[in-house]
Amino acid sequence: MKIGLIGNPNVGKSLIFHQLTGIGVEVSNYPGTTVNLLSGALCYGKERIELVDLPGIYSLDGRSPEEEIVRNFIRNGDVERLVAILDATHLERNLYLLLQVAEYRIPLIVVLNLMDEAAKQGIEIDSEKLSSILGVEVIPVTAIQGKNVQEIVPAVLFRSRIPGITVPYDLHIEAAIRSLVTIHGVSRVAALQALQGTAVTGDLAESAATLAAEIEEAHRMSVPQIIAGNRHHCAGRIADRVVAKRQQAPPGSLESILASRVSGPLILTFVLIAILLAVFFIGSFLEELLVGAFESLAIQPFLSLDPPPLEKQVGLAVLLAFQAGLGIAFPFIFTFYIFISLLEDSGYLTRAAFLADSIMHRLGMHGQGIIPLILGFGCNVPAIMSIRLLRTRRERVIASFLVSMVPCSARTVIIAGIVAAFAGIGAALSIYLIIFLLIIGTGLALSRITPGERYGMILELTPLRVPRPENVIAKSWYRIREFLLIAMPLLVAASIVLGLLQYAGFFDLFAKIIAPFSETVLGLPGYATTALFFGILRKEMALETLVILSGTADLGSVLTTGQIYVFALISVLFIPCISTVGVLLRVAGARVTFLVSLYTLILGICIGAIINILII
Amino acid sequence: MRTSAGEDLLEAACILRERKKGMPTAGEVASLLFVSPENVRKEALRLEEGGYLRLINDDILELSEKGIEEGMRIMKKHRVLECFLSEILGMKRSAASEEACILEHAISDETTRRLEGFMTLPRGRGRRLQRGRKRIPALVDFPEGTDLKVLSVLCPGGCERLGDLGILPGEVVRIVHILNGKAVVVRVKGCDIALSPEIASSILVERME
Repeated sequence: MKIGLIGNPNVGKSLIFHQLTGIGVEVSNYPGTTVNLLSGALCYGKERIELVDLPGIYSLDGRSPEEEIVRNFIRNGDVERLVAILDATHLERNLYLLLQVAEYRIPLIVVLNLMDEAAKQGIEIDSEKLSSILGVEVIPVTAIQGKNVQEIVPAVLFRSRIPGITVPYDLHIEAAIRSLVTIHGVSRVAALQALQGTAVTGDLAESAATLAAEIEEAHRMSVPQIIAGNRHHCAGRIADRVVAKRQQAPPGSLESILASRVSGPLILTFVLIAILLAVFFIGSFLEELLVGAFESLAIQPFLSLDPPPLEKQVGLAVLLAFQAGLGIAFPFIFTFYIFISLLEDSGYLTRAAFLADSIMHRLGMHGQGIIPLILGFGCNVPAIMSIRLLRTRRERVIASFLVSMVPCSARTVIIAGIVAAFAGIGAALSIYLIIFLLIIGTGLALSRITPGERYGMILELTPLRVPRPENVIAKSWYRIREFLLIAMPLLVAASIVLGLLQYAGFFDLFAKIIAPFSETVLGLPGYATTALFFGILRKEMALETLVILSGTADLGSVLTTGQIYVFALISVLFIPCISTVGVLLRVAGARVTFLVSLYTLILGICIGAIINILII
Repeated sequence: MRTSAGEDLLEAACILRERKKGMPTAGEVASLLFVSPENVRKEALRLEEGGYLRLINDDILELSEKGIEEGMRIMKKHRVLECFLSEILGMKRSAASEEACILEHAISDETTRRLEGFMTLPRGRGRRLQRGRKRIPALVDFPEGTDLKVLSVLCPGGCERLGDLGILPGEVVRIVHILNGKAVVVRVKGCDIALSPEIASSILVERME
């Protein structure tokens, strides 16, 4: 039996799903993190149940990708039962969605989650009365404490009912529904959606459009607005009958400080810089430990076996890939995601999006676009994945470019490893500065030239909550899994290819061919440019390849400070690594991927050439 | 053949006829048009030939049906033009009225009809501009902490989400935060919703007393 969990964003759907199935899914305090459908299996008695966690939505009639996924899912009859999860602290708003769900006539039960928070706010809900009004079973639950969660499965299996409640729509709307149902023989739900212009084609769409135009003329309001108004009215009346509120909760003072005009932007800047610094230091500390351990436990023993040259080359390449992935990238990325998950679960991330809205507008996106950019500092791979949350293609295209330019932790390794070491911390910071300016410039330019519609931000601020450690760890793990599953295999493969190329003497050949260009334009020896090009396969590999090719780890002895600076700058700007390209292909399509690669390639070479002229 | 002066006279006579519910005199028309009563009489005689009115006792203007129809037509043109100039183009009302006096004689019926249609479209920018005599304020025009009643949501396309969240005509919302860039957070049905400036400025509101 297939059962779907449906509800608004941030009502604890994923948490309940997690408790029922035990799968480590993401439990999120940021609206819209579940874009794909997650499903898990469980058994109750002899019944085998497939539980599906549907993305959080506000309406079943909208046009956002999440709304379409859920609508198709429940309309196509894939699902036999539903568990509608409502937030007890915002019952009225949540009933709005439930009233829509009821129109699909699927047997369901209602779960009232967050009962503890409702009690804290002085809200009392008469769940029995709610149950009799809706005509379905209502279970009050506090998912975060696991209270009553065990009752959900038996209730949905044995006591699900089709809700008896229907929204009384405006007379004109009802008349239009009746005529559509009679003429075209469609269901009430289909007629309602046709009137709103969603998900219809052909004759039905045509007659619905005519009817809708008449209604709009008479009401001076759009049909979706009238329908939404009727539903809200109905939800409000139900809420009035079942909710007793003892006192108004005082507005939190923390809340007003975090998002205020004066202190908000300051706190946001401070938080972001603090996170970057903390990641930098904690990451470097862990990296040293891990790389040292790897060196003594894996690489040295392997070398002491003294295998034949080819095997040695390949084996070393694999070990180096693991060392780079797990020893270098992992500490930075994981630390970073812990901080980001903290921000997300505390509810601060939505406030950050709100505060950043006006800046992001200049870059051609809106407030929510700051999330992928921040994530990009960890690893570009999950950041590109999160681009899917942006509403328009225009924003996704712009974000693809900008995220690919954000210095991820691998690039941080290059900046920290060679520029800070050989040219000083000031030079390292100047690289960041140059990159940020380029990102801003690119955003300004793209916002002018990228075609497509703009939408503003309409974003619910999630309530401020104290993050729960197990959720934070689980979510960081979920994110790092994307890095491990997508980026790591590519890293290892790329590393082996590099090892083989090196074994075949390809690097020397390439260095000879590229040398004239490299020396005249970039002022770098041929082998350095070779290292740069192979940095496409893996960012921090550019550094390793450079060390191997130059034959010394003391780069200061073979390259001037200026050359090191140019090398680092180009390798940071250069085409995103192969893993990022892979994800970009999946998320943004081949054309955008190609453009991003070409743009960053040209940008890297141009900036390198300019710096070369200026300082060498 | 009608002249501008003739049209002005018919229009003025119509206005006065409505205003005092009786037949206007040449003196009254003259003072409304800022011309001498003599000129009005001269023009009225000319119109009498065209069958638009009858001049009784050389003073009282009795409009014929044809005259009323013509006067109303000019009046309508004047109103449409004045509304267009002031509400949509943003001219001062007095200047708009003066300009409309000149344009009303040249504009065709077809153009007037289309202009009127443009301003009374059920959706689109014309409507909000015409509906209120003065500009209706939007969400972004109020400080933090104000309770506001939503009058209409003009967001064209893609804003069904606002309705789903409860931001609909008639709903009372409170401004929780407003940034310098005019991004706002409003509280609707107990939930805080962040809005971009362009969306917030398309939500027309009035202050709750």
